Amino acid sequence: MGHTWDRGTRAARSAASPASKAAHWAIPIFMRRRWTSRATNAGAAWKIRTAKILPGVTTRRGDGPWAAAGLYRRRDCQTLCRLQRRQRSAKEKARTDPQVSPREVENILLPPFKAAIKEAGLLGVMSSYNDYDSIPVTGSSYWLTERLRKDFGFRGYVVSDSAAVGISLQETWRGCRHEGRRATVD
Amino acid sequence: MKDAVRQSIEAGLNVKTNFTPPEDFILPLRELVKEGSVLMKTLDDRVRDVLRVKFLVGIFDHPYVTDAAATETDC
Repeated sequence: MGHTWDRGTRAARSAASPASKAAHWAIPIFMRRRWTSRATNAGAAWKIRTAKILPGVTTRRGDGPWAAAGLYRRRDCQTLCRLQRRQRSAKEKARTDPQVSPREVENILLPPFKAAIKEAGLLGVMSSYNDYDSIPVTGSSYWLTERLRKDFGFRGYVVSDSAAVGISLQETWRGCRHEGRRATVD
Repeated sequence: MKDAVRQSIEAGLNVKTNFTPPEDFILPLRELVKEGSVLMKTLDDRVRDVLRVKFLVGIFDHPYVTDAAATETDC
């Protein structure tokens, strides 16, 4: 399963599925791998166990085909992501570091964005909080210039996400590491 | 923070959020330009991207939308 903004595709999927509501929860595939497939991801199971013991946080299993497949509903994913951020924020000031292989990035995650830029003429982009290969995206000329503008042909503006300029580039050890590397290269 | 400003501007960032006091972003950026560690040409390029979009969507000709309902989706 991938993610799509095409209403026709989603409508067709809803019609084909016995539980039409389930089709509406199109979960990006990288989230599914990290957060929703209990059977294949020990890390997710750990998060779920942790979730249960924290006060004020409840995780809910979905019902229907998602649950049967060992998957969690989108709002459950969101609960887990919030939980993860909360845990991180205490230690690392709210970093998000998804572990996605380059092959998945190129073949699954980027094509819809590339199509939105090239085919639909997207003119505004928000750079993410995430690192890619340990370099914060908001400070990455590879993503903001090489890929976005030169490769995808983007001609709009890039806006940073909330406090990303401060948090992802400066206040963490990753920023220091990147700067250290930069200094070495320079 | 100053180096974070330099890094993001050089990488290709056009607009910084959140909306914070000048000393968080724009004052350090001015210092960087004065020091010569960020080129004015780079800033021109970043501003050009924003202005291009504003011209493309016609914001200087029609600052207000006539059909606000068109922005609603059923997603």
